[in-house]
Amino acid sequence: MNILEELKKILTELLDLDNGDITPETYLIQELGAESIDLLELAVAINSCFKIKVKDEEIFLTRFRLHLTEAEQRKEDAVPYVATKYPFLTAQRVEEIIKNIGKGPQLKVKDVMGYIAFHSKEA
Amino acid sequence: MNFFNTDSFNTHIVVRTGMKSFLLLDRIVEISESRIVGIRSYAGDPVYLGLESLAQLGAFFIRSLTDFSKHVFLLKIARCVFSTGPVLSGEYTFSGDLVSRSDSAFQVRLHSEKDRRKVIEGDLLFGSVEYNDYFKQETLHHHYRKVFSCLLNDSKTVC
Repeated sequence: MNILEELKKILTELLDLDNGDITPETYLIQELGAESIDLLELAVAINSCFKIKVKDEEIFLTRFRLHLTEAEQRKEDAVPYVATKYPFLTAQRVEEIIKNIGKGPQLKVKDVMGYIAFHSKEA
Repeated sequence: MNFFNTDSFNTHIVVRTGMKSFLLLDRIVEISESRIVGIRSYAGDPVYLGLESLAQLGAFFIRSLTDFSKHVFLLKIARCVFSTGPVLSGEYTFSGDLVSRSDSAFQVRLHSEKDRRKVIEGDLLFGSVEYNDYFKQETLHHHYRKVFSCLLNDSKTVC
């Protein structure tokens, strides 16, 4: 199953978009305008389509800032600490998110794809 | 129309729905991890109340699945088909099956039937959140557990 193609189908239907608008680099919230309710619906659709267990806070990086604060409080290096919370993200991607976190919600289609791929292997 | 039972806005609001109770289920006759079935008798009630019964049954299903540990609410009616006239009369069976879920969202396929004929069916999406200052655990947890228990035990006196 092609994760990107299936995800595109779900997102285009859910958010009433053109299929061509979506690439792995697309921001879900900043560019596609997904709201919290849309993300909940997306989580359910992903469970249905890919047959994986979906943890909303993990797949949508909801507690990313909180984990950054935790790392600071523990006096630990932020990138490896946060990467342990999101094992489906590369250290490079975590670094990129931290760098741009002040520019708005950083969740991209490729992050959701990573979660699906990671948990599909587990299943 | 006077919605308030006193002159003060600090007192509780009385909403006159014209119904004896806003609980639109009589009893729950089956519940498992994947399915719920309930019963409701109507006496010439408008058909849209059937959809409300479906939503209430679905919400109790999710509350039960989450052991009443979260506040549950209807997020979206993704699909709904009415195959009946404008009025509901007699006893209807409502059932719901869990289609998919995440940690905090649940899609339930629900339908109601009478005399083995489907009259309303739909896909409803429910969300759940931790209790908070708006949805107070001390009030809601106890209330919904009590109503659920009452529906399971067919005890109309408590409800």
